Amino acid sequence: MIDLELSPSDQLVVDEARRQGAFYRRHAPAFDHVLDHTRPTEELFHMPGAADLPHVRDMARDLAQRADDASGTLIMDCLITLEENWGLKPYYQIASTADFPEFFLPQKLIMATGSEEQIFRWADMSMSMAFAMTEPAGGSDPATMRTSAQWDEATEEWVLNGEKTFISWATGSPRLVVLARAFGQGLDGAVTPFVVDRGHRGVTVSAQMEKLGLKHWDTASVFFDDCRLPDERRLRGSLRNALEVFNEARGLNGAQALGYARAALDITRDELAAAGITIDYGLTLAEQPAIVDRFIRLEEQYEAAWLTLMHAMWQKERGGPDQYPAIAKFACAGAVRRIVRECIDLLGPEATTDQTLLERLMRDSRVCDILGGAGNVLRIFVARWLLGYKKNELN
Amino acid sequence: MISFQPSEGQEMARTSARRLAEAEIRPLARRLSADRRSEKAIALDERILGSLASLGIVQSVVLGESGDEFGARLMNALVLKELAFGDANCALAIAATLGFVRAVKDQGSAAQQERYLAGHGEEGHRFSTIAFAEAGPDTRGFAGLQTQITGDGGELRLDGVKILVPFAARCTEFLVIAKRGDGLVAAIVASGAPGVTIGPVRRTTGCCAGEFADVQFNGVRIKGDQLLGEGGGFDFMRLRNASRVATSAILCGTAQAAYDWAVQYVKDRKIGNQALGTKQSIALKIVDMFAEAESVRWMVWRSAGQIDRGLDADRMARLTHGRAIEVASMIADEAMQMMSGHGFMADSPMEAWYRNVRTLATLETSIGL
Repeated sequence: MIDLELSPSDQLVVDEARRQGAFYRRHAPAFDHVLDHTRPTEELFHMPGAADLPHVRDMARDLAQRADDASGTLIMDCLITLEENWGLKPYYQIASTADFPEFFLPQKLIMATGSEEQIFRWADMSMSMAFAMTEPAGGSDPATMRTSAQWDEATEEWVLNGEKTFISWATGSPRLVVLARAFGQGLDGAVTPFVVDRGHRGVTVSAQMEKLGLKHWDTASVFFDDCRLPDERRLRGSLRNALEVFNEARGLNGAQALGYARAALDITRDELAAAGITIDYGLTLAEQPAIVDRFIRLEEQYEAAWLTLMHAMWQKERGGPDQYPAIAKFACAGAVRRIVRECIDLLGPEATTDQTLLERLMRDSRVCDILGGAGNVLRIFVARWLLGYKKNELN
Repeated sequence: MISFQPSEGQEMARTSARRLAEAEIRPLARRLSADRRSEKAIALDERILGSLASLGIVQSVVLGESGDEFGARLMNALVLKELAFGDANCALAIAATLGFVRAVKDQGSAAQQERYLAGHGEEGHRFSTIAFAEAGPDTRGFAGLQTQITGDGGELRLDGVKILVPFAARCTEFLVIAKRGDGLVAAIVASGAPGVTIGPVRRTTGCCAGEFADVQFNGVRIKGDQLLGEGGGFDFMRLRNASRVATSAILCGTAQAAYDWAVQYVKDRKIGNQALGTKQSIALKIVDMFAEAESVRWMVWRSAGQIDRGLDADRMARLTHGRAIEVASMIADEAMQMMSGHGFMADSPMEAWYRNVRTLATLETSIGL
């Protein structure tokens, strides 16, 4: 039966996530610029009282076992992530005990492509790992990938050289999965994943990169300079496997965008109310101020994107096509781009200062349409599906 | 619990409507939606109305117990979308009567239901509709309604002009939304009552088979038992919400028709030796059309579901309606652009869909679920 409302069980989880979101929101200013002049450590992200918060994801899993009105896990994870981002919960090095969305993309790639021994040794879910794919000259485009792994017959080692950039968690993670073009052992430039420890000789991590927003988000470049690895560090995977694991996170990327969007809408609604302007959905164009109509137009965007995300996760839970999460990601990211921008327009000059969260939301949210698959790239992927074209027909 | 799975009943209703849309409606669509001055233009005849009535949509609202209501509006939204995929005029024929019937069913007294709904429960299609819109910019503002009911007790009279009432000349009754003092009332008025004058069919840009006409009420005598709810109060937002969602569903069906046609066209049309659809400027637009259209469908489902459950649907119905208009307009517009000259010519149905969307977008509180 079609049901697009949260059930009492869902609401229970969302309310708790929202309560925690409000807690994170109170601490948010302290984390905006936390990495500007220092490297990330767990202590930096210490929040008094955070350890006492119950794990919302566990609560959701538990309810799913007991209650018959709980929505699916993927949907609940998105709803929780949405509320956390509404509160600007900082992303930091993931500890096994932390209540965090399961991004774990490097681990997922090891599990998908590794041997039993490789999985046992390296797919450690309690450890933060980085995924080194993007390069200065190209993102997910294999044709431009330059980082190479040359097989050295003499020492029976792979020798990695190259530069990876925009790498999340590069500084805080003890281990990385890196994609390189492999030459030797029968490979002639095929994009291949390797597991590398950060402390390994020949691996250098840059200082934090300066960026528009999400300044607490560990982001750095990684350099490989004659980094020698034994063959056991090579995963029998391809670029396709790597891109597939990115699809796993699309729903959470979308939820992150929607969290920021809702925060902006809520702040704007409150500010308007304080100025004596209430949103009445029954009025007509002639009866309402222009600012109300513009606000309602932004709410339309939010609700459309929210339902698109719910539909995508519902499809995914039933084994539906990967295109739905891709659509949800660019729909949510597109919505937040417009919503935050225009909320600032509605509230005026004060909203462009650090006295309001809107200014930060604008900076932090912009990456949602870029990170983990840019909207324009995802659209091409979806276009091939809709039009029935192969990669060489539409690119 | 979030689910996008239609119930068995909803799926069956949707499938039957789709079948009817493809087999009987679409072959007539170009003539139903033709410009009224065109020689090709035809009206909805008994045969197509009989086919529409065979779906039993209005009848099940009339005959349904209140316990059967769960999911009924959502089901009707699914059906309206499919009918509109065939042709918007056919969806409009059902939705116009639904607006009247649902209002009387939901808000009428027992005596009113008995008197005004019995005919609609029988076989075949009968027209009755809501008369709300008035002349002037933003006619939807109800604070500025000119149509009034004056007098008290047994001596009430109705005066005013309602414009663009769908299928006006075919209706047996109108539900006329009018001011009474500072409040709003809805009066059930027989189309043949003394003082009621139905004007000629107006030349609307779209939905030409909707036979929109102006209706003048000149000193029409109204008894207390003709006021919806018989003095027990009347909730205008319930009518408005249902109309907004029904309009959005019909816009969805129209947009779907335009989208499907455009996809086929860009795949068939060759530029040099490549299909038009392989160009990024076209392909990326197709993606946005698809994604936006889908999101509006879910918004229609959600707001129809809220009305079904008796939740406050004012907000979601408004958001759905605004989005549906914007998205359907965008799709009809971009689809026509992709077809260039072929889209502009009446040989393809695109120009009719383009016109229909404009007429649908300006409908408000005329139809229902």
